[in-house]
Amino acid sequence: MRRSDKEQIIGYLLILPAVLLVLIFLVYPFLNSFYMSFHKWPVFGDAKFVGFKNYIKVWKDDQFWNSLYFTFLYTITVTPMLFALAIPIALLCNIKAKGSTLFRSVYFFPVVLSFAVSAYVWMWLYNESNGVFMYGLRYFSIVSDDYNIWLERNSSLLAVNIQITWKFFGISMIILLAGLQSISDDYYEASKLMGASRMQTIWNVTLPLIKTSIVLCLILSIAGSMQVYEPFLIMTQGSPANSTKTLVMHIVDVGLDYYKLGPSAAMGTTLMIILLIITSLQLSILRKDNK
Amino acid sequence: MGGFMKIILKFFLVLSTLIPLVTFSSQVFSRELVVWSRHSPSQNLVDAFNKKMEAEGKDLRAVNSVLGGDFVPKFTAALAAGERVDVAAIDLIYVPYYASIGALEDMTEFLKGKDYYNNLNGPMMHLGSIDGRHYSAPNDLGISGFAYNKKLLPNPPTTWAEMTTMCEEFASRGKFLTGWPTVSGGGMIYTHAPWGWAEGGAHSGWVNEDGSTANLNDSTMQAAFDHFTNLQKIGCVPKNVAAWDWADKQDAFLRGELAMIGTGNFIIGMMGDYPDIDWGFFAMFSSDGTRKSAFVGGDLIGIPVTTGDKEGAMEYIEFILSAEGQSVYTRQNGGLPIRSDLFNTDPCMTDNHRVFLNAGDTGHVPYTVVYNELMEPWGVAIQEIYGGGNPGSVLAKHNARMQEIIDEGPE
Amino acid sequence: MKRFSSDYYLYYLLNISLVIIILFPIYWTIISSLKTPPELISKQQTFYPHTITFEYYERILTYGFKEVDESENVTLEDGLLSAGNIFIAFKNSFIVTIGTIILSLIVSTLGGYAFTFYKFKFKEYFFVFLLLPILIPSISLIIPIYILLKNLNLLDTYTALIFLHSMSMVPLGIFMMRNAFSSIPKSLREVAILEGSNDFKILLTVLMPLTIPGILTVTVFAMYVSWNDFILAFLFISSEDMKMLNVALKHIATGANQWEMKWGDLTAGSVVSFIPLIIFYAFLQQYFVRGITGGAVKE
Repeated sequence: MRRSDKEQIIGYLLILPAVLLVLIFLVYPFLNSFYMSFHKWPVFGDAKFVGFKNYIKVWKDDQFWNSLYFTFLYTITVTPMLFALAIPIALLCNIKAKGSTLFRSVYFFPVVLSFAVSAYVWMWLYNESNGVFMYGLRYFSIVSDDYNIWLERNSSLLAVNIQITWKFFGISMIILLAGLQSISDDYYEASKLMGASRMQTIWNVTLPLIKTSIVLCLILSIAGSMQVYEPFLIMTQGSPANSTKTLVMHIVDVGLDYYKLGPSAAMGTTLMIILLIITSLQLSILRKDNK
Repeated sequence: MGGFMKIILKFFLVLSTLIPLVTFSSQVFSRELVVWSRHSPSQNLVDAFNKKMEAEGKDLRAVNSVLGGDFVPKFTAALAAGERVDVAAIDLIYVPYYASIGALEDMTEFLKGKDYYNNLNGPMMHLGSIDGRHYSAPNDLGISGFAYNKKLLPNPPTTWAEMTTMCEEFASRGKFLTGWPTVSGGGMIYTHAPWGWAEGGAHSGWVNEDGSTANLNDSTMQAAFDHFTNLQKIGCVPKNVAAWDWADKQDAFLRGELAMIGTGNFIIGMMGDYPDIDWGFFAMFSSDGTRKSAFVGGDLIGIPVTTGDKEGAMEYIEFILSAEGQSVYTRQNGGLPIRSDLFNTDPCMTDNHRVFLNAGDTGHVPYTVVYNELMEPWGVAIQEIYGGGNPGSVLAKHNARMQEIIDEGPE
Repeated sequence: MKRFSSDYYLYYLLNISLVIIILFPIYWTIISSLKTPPELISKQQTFYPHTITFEYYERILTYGFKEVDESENVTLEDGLLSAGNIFIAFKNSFIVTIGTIILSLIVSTLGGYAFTFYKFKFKEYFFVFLLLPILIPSISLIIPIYILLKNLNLLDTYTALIFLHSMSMVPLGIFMMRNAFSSIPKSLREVAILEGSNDFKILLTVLMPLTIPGILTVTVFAMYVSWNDFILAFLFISSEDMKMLNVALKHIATGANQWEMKWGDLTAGSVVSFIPLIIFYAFLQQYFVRGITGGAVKE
């Protein structure tokens, strides 16, 4: 056997576990779901081919569009919030000083908390009458005495975003920090010699050098936010008046609570296409960067 | 290399100390019944059943899974995939759908053969039946009603006009009479819709008897909403009631801020935790106070067609329906029996329990195969009404949407 | 940074205030779990419990252990977690998380190694193929996955969740490990090959120790994916002794009638669930965070 043949075979063998995992637990169910999306699919009994009827139904479903809009709104608001906290803290953590390891661990701690704990604890903080967060806002007269954060869509969104930022900024921080630590000290020294101020150094030297990490964070944050489900399920249940119902919440509702498996599958496929477009745009940035 | 190995070693050291936190040993029985329930109190029933099986020397054991509020998605997925479930205790409101698609075994003969057949709760039996065939039996009862705090409200209102007068009096003192969980569609149909039903009779104001026509904008339901929006305007209802969930109004009541709230019989079990409240209960009533109504809730128990042991499942259901099985449930503080012949003989029934039981006699529960989907327009409607919308036009708008959903039906 | 310079004070001032903000919800959870029911829902906020009670802990910790006494009058709330209890739920989540970490590490190390050092046909296509888990939300595939797991006889098993969680870790894991491997000079591997070592041995003894930062990053992410999952854990696990922590906590929080908010039980349950984590984390935090970031090899 030639060496290159052997290398090819070993190469395939090495990626086989990953390929199998994705093939069996994602691609195969996805193909099934894709097939379902063209059928009238009762919970019991035989499926019937209906062509694009399910997609037309989705197109005409107002809640689908509302949910899609809200999911975008969530994604474009939570992503900057995550970065606004993660970038400064990553820079702060990059400084070597006594206690810096301890600080880093604390910042990462919310990530290791169980998700349900985090969502419910924050609901407890936001509670109109017993929540200490609202108590604080009232104490400093930021809100009126009988303010309720869940009364409006925007304040509900902000409330969930704060919880998500608190819970997940550690992930972005760690990715960014890994990027920061790989920057050679030479760059900083060069920048210092050129008389750049601290802010200038961060803006002109540091951030461009961790572009890969930033784009990676961006991809993860956007793809993750577009698939958001549990936070709103627990914290708002879609209220007020379904205005905070996310797309995945609607997909699950239509499929499993309304027993309409076909339209639900059609929505899943649509969401995948949207994500495919967004992510390939971001990846093309990353690729251009690497070349 | 050394550092790497040390990390791995330490890692597994910590692991090995944490994993055996709980060691679990369970005997395996040849016949295990897979029981899926919505409610946690079901565990006591399962335990009692297993104890009985053990005493009788039978090799049958029930294994319970409590699925909580997300029972429906899980059960639907399980049915579509054909997963084995032997007994399912389903929130009664969803049973018409599952029965209509043929997901539940017919148990008509089994039920008719029991001497307590005629004592089984009527509205519950109705929801589990199609054309006189029974596909499920009552499991436990959860009737809605009102709780009031005698310290704030010595005598509860008996007519709507009286309630309005009380409201004015409370508002003038800057106190709150009542509040409700606007954002909880389920909580509102449970504790709010019965006011309309008391006024207009059972099948007014949601869907008609067979669930084929939506009548949310029925004049009596509208009258009920007018009444409560009026209370809101007078000012004896907290300002943010439009954003309140179940826990908000319950906590406010338990704090002594609200004089009365809608709730269910289960709250009897909480009385001991809040000794500062002087508890009283009353049923929801019509405007003149002559007719009472309630939401007859609870779980129905059925045998999914994906069962692997129909006989065992029957045996389990027979135990649930027996006086012995029901007593396990009623002995828990706040539980009600599903057989009318036990209302008077069960020693655990107090006057508080009877308020709910009596309300249940004239109570109601809507029959529909698209309940979850109807909850969407219903939920939005109440949020719009208590957010300041006009009850008449809001109800008419969402009634149209409800009719659309009913006409389309499930797939 | 010089000691006692203005930078020095600023550094600690910033960090300490951040620490207080980040940890405040945790502190609030702990004190809430010790307040009596009336104090807990009182409008008057108390920043420490005025009367300490352990009643929630007692309830949480005895769930599933307590036999219902024939004579005792119990409430509907009792037996909430029924046969499952918080320790079992914790153990279940722990096993699944560890399983996910191990499987993800194997899969991404092998994959990252292949994509860095091997040439094979359609390599780029395979790499893009493995990014699919980012693009397809598995929540929208519930029914097909349910049927698949049933046919594989994996319903209600740890294995099912480990596979699903590891699957969603594939893109990130391979990306991270490829980055880690490509920072190693190729010559190092070539020297080892010339010395006659086989591929596997090189990977294990020469290359892997150099990719510890990458390995730890994958570990952290796998833990985060698995530990935070709620919906898959809920749908594909049915029996009580297999219940996962997030699901158990949601059931505790919403109480017996599913509409309530049992703040006391919930906060106590949360504390019970994160105490072992804090211990675990305290052991490993230096490796978690320093290991990830203090890379031995520059990019």
